[in-house]
Amino acid sequence: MKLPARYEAVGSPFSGGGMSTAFKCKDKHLDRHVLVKVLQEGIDQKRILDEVKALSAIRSKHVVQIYDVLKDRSGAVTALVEEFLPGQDLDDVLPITDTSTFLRHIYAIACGLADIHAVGVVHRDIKPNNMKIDAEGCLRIFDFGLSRTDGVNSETIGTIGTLGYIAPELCAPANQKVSFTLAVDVFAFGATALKLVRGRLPSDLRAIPPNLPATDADFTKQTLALPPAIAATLNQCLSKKPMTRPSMETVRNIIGRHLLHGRHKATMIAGDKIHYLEKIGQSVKLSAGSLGSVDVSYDGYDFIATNVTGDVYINNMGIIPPQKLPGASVITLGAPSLGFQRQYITFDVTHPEVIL
Amino acid sequence: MSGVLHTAGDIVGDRYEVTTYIGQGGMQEVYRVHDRLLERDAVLKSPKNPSAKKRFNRSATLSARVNHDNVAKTLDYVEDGDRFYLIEELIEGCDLGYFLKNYVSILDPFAAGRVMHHLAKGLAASHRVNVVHRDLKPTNVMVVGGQNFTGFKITDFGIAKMAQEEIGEAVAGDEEGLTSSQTALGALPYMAPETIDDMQNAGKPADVWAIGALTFEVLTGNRPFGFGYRAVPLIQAAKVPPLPSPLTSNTQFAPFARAVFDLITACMQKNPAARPTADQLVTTCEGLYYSTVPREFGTIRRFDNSNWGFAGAPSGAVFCHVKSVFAASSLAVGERIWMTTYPGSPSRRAFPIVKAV
Ligand SMILES: Nc1ncnc2c1ncn2[C@@H]1O[C@H](COP(=O)(O)OP(=O)(O)OP(=O)(O)O)[C@@H](O)[C@H]1O
Ligand SMILES: [Mg+2]
Repeated sequence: MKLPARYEAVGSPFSGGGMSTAFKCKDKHLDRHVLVKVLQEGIDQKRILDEVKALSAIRSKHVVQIYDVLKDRSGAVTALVEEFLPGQDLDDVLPITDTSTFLRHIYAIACGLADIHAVGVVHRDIKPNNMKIDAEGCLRIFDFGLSRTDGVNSETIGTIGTLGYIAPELCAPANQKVSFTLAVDVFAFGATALKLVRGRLPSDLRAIPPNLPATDADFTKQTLALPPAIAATLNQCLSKKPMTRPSMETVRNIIGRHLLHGRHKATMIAGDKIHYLEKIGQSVKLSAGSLGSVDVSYDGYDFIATNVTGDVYINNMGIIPPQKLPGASVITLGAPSLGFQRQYITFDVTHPEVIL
Repeated sequence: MSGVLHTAGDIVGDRYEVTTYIGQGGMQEVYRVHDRLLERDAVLKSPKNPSAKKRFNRSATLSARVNHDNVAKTLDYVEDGDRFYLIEELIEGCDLGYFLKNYVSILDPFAAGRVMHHLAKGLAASHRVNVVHRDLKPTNVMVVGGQNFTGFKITDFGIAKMAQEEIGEAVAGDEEGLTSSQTALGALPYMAPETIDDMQNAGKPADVWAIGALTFEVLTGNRPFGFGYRAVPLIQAAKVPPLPSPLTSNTQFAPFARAVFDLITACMQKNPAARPTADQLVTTCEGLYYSTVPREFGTIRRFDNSNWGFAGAPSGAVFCHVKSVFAASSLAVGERIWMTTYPGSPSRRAFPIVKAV
């Protein structure tokens, strides 16, 4: 295919997955590099139309940006033009050996996938080499709507994805129809996370259908120590039954909550006195003589009220200890009948923002 | 209002169908368009002055180099007839200038810190590829979600290069030129001292200064040195006015307001070399504490003692205490407020509260 004058190939073409040929090009209008993905001859045009449609619909900082499509003389779409992402695939930086980097990566993937799912798109080919970390350190997902039909790559089977990342429900006999639900991506996300920690997927996952559950695919049994809640969630992503896999939104929220572990700060103000509570395990006793008292402690995620004596209210609600405090509250010591003798302490929780 | 360049239905570059006129500044007209090729909406920008082609193209290629979530994405650049166009990501929302004028004019230190953090992120990404903005001001910051205040994106990179001469005129104290140039008038309050001397000095530190000046404005409701040419000598002296006392008198907010103010003054040092780099600013902002719980608007419905009352809001009645109000020490029935709400009984509790327009 002859490229329009606007785009000038830089270097030689490379494979853009099984169905297209990719060229790094210079966009002469904006003087920047772009990637032109040309549909290979004989490949169903629906493939590229799906990809264009998905990319145009998704708005996410974790997804590659589409700029243009190219058509042949008959008006049929033959190529798409997208942002050129320099640098290495996630596959080239494996395995990841520190927990914090791992958590940031899977958080970014989960955010991207949640955005993709929010507009009803199923990626179908989530795996580390369809992701990159851009120059600003932001993880980006690319290669949409691809289904491998060439059969050249032994890692791919039919149209269902990449070996090791294929959800069990897709491993049906060839003549049987399989449906791609969002849960297919959730499974591939779990496999991606496993690949990130192990560097290589275990044979149990590479089997068709995958042998699950398996010790090698158990996130509580990997060399990289993970917070128990995270390991449990990732294990759920690899559930055999699609129904028991969590949504990507849930996964994202659980990881996001963990990224803030130990980073909250509670500001307590009583009269003109300010106190802070921010160390995990730290606890304070708030008391007003015989009116009432309560202990508040920080467990790394929440501030929890325990040991209540006398009359204690949080935002005017009675306490049933142990009770999590809301992000902003007034703790009142003393019964309502005491009027002006009651003591008030404001308790407000803030934290840094995790921006990837 | 309508633009002079296009009307709804016009097709630009065989691809972009003009749907509505969005607005204009001194240099360009902005339209909402439908990209018929990718079937999505975008924004089209075209300079008012067609002889500015070279500079407009230059500003387009500059912005196209920056790729970050806190920067509006440059999607395309097309020429059609004797006109030329930049196609940019559509941001559903409004610009920060509009937000300050029409919704909330003084942001609490948590929201102000968040704005600063996000702008510093976008700026760091652009400085990394050696793109200097030169014209950071509230109207060049888009607020994603408008009233919902969900995100922030810097736009119009390098357009200042076009506006440079106009700004030069304004700085020379030429009142005539000043009033005739919206752009210069808008840019002046955020200009760093060294750029007042000579716009050629508009480097990365001048952008950092502008973020400081902009954050000062969102936190206090005022531009640090006022506006108009009278601001010029004050900018040159670079003595940042202290935080007004209502912003520091309430212990609920004082430590947070001071933390943001410390960053503002660091950015607004006269010596450009003494200011933090955008990257350093990002790192310090990462230490800022704020909550990211969504905000909502409400109206005070009951306030029958001097300390507390209730607001009506989409989430129902909300308990509001004057101690939770930033930069003011009273609330009155009928006043509009902007707040975050948390569980409480029988109604939710608001913190922080700021007065809305
Ligand atoms: N990417 C965008 N998405 C949506 N609206 C936008 C976008 N970029 C700009 N706008 C809107 O278009 C309006 C006009 O923008 P323009 O840059 O022409 O003016 P300005 O920045 O207010 O002034 P000046 O030209 O003096 O700098 C802005 O106020 C903003 O509301
Ligand atoms: Mg502008």
